[in-house]
Amino acid sequence: MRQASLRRALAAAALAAGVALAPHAAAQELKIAVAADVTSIDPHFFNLFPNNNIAEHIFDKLVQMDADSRMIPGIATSWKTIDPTTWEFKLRKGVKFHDGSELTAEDVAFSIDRVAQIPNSPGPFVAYTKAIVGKQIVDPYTIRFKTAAPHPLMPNDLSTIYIVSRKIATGASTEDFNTGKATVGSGRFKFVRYANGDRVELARNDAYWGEKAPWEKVTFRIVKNEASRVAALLSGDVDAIEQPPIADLPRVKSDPRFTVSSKISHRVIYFNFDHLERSSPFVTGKDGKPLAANPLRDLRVRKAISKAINRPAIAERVMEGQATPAGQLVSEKLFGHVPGMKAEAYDPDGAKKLLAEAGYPDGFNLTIHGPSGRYVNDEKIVQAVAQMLTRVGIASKVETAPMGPYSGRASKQEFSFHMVGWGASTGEASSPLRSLLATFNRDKGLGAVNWGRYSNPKVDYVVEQAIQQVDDENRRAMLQQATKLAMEDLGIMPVHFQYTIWATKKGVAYAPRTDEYTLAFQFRPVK
Amino acid sequence: MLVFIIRRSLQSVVVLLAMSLIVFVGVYAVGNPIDILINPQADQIDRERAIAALGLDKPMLEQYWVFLRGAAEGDLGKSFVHSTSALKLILEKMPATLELAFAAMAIAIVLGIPLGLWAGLKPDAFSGRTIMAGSILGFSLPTFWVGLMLIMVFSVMLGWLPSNGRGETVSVLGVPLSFLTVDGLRHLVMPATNLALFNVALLIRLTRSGAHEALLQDYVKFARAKGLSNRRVIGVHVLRNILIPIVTVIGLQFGSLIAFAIVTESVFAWPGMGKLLIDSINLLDRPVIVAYLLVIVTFFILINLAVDILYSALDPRVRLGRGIARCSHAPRVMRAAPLPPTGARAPQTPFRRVVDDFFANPVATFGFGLLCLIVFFAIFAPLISPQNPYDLAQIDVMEGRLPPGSPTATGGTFWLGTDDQGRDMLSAIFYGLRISLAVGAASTVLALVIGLAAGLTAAYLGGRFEAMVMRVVDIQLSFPAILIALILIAVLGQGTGKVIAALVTIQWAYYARTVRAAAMVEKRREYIEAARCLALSPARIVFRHLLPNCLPPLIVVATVQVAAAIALEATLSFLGLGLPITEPSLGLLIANGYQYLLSGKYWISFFPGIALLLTIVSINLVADQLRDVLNPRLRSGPAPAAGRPTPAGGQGCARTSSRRRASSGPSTT
Repeated sequence: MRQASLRRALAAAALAAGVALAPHAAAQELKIAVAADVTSIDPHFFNLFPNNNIAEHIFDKLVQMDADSRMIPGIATSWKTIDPTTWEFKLRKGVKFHDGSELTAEDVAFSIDRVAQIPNSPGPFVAYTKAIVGKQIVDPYTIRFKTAAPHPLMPNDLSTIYIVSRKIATGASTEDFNTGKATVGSGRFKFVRYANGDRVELARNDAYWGEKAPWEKVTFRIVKNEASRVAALLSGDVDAIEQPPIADLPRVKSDPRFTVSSKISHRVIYFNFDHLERSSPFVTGKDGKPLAANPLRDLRVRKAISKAINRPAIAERVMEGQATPAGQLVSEKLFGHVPGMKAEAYDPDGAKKLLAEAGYPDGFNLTIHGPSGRYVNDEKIVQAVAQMLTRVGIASKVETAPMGPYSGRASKQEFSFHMVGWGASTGEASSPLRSLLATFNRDKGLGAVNWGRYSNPKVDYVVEQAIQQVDDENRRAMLQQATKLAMEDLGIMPVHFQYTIWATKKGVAYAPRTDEYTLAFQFRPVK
Repeated sequence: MLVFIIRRSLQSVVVLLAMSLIVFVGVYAVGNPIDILINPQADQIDRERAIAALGLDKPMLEQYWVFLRGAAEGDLGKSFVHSTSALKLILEKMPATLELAFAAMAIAIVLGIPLGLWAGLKPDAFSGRTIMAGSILGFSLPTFWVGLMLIMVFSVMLGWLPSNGRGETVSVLGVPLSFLTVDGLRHLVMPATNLALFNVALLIRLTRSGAHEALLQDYVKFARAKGLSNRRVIGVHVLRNILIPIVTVIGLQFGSLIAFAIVTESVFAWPGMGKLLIDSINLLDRPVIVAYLLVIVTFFILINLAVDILYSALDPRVRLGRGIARCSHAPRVMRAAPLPPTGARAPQTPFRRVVDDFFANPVATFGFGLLCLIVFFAIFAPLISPQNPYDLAQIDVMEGRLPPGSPTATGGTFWLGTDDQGRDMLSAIFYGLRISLAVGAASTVLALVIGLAAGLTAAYLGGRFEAMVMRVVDIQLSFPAILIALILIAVLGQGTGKVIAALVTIQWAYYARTVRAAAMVEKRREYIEAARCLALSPARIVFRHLLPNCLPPLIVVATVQVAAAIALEATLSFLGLGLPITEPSLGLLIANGYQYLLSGKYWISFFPGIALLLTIVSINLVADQLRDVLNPRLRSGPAPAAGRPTPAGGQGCARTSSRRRASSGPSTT
């Protein structure tokens, strides 16, 4: 047996060497290497980026986001408020599920209910459906949602809910979706196969209601190691990759066989200050003894830290141009961006002066914390910031940890000054404002990720008004006002907006997106 | 035999229980999975609800109890993130990992045994020496580095092989196998070779020292005197005698291959169990982590049991159930003459002899010289480095990634270039050497002391205590190093001390096993009996009589372990679990530079790689020679004073080399 298989192995190896240089498959197939693991195909089980990325292909939503995170019609052709607490959505007619049945308001209502009924979800979608207190199906193509209070973000919320077929998904478990038994959507692609930790295979839906995808077959390969991912592209094993490591970009760009596309992301990289009135755990005097008062509560100290940081240098050197310095919460195209609000200019002398004014002419000692392997070049950013702070007198050390233990400690206020990133996935400044800068308040559901425990009644007031303001222009003005208040007070300190990067082989182009999704139908064959 | 198996099974249940509790508590300490799983936009009440949905709001002991109740019915829980039975997930991934491990083992056997035999038969020939020197490379180079190099050469540059993933599979009796298809084989070749590399080196060295030693034995001389052909002498007599330890090691290494395929699977995106474990650790998917480890421990227990039974079948001198099983043999490594000397005239002090013998070999002398030079650089790094790379005020990101020979802002030169943070690579390498050597030495000494105490006491006391210690050792040896590190880092935070603690935790069991094996032999000797008759205190017998006689094998083991600890630290750094990033060791420098390998900025990880390679090679050269000169049976001079008959083939406690990373220990068996 062993001998036989050995002989077979040798024969196969000889063959392998022979066919190795054969040309790649026809252009109708697209192979993409993605960076993160898809844990389930059930679109309601777990609100996780890689899962949603796959769901975007198989399922439709009422409202879609365009490449700049602006809302565009999906299954809903239009939406409006009938009164302050009622939203009405008109559905597209003639949309067919992959099994040929028609998508109607019944399926929409069913999908919204299913979100709340998923058992054992580690990250449910209920945050986006719980505002709905009542549903009314007016006709098969009209559905109304009642809310308890005015809820301007209804379309934004529903841009995250995937619509499944009521007929097929009734009683279906998450496993039924993973095996494909219940994986019937109305999206551009049909489900073919999911091999956990390895790949997802999809086939084009030729009956799609909108523009059909240019690829007959799509394979997503999961390749987490970034160097291996680049190697997969360079060796021609895949046609496109997401998140090539920045270090390798010059090489990929200089090679005529490949194209790189990138776009500013909705993600801001920022630092949290410890705002608690206490002896901050990782701040000590120059003598190494704890300081009785927390210097980070002093706006002059926060300002000094912000001035000490050379953001253009980080964007140019550490991020190799793949970031834009940030002075606010959301980037230019997003709702609530404040025009003209620039990042703090690099001013080490000003920083030293402010430190002296605040009573720290010689600075103090600080340990900066950061996650490892979570955001683009996260450890390098933290180190560069430590260098810059050390130069103005704040002698800094760096500690990093994987996101698991790191976020656990950060959310318990165990750090003094630490780095995090935030993606405004609803496409609005309200997302960072209510989660990061509003005062931590369980009952109001505000400040859930306000790890530095920043608290400013003025900001709270404006944010609470804004999230109930249905009129878009008024809401935009309020979000801008809250952003200005929070940024002038340095509740958190933004560093930059990172870019999302894709690399493709020549002949394939990608239309890059703010929301970081890698969508097969946005890759096009080009000459 | 039956009694032996029943007792083993009972012990195993205890091991599994203990294992599950340790992992449960450990992962619990790392953090709440909901913190990283839930979408950040969720508010506090959503979070609480999700925590309750997974039962994570209950007290830890209650959660453990729920787990145990499920486990008793064969249900190890559902994965948090996949909503699928954890056991099912693991079993789904098992064929891929087993296939990789079998392929790696096959490569190791096909390459390792013939090369080792050749080197053993021609120890002084150029070819023999080249094979041995090459084998040092096999366990000096970090696996992740070699993996990417293979991809670079065979996928990116030559385009011969696919860079990652598993190829097409065919289902055989319901098990998907990829080695039966051409596409599958093409995908399998590189990762299997990468994984096999360490074992090729291990088998070369094992076979070589076995053969080398066997050739000096009386039965070989006798066979030759009888006029048997060289082929028959080697093919039948020598090979059969050296095969027993090799078979044992192959059996034990197989378990390690499965557990430590983690790195290879990550580099090659191989969809196996190891990759599943890493993914689960990153997501704190506790049911999968616990289930994975229980499966692996069960594997180890079964393999150990099989090896024990096989051993007794192969070697009638081993009596199962007498407690000490296969380790009743002398460790093949070396046995110093028992102290006190038996009255033979000693014209030379033993120390003098060892020194003379050591420097008789020019290669070892070179290795020793190189090692001295490296240690010198490490100790005096602050005095000879142009820059203090750990002082953030002295480095500047604006000077990052400069090629070798670039001028510094202050008029100097970056002879070896700078890394991404603007550190002078030359200074960073000197300082990195310092940290690496310190970490290696400190963890080795601590692990040695703990292992020595545990092993000696176990061997001396025997009985329940011994069984307990050895079961704990079993647990240790089956615990993937990365998980220990992650748990420790979560509980303690990052830092040099914590990495040392992790390395000690990983290594001590290895010493305990080695020293126990040696002590088991020594304690049957007459001098111990004599000491007992003199009614000396147990402490005195253990420390004054037993200990000195068990030391020589440990010295060699320890030397190799320093190298192993340095390599392990590098791998931990690669997995992001090592030292603080602002005070990089050699391993961390390589890991940081890893991402620049494909970019053309070779100097960022190439030079630290060379430094690491030189360090590990020089330590191993010294260790090899130490092993030879401390082994009385290999001595060219007169027979050792205590000239006791030695068992043919001199099988050692091969188990001692079962640890892949922690042992790095080919020359220790």
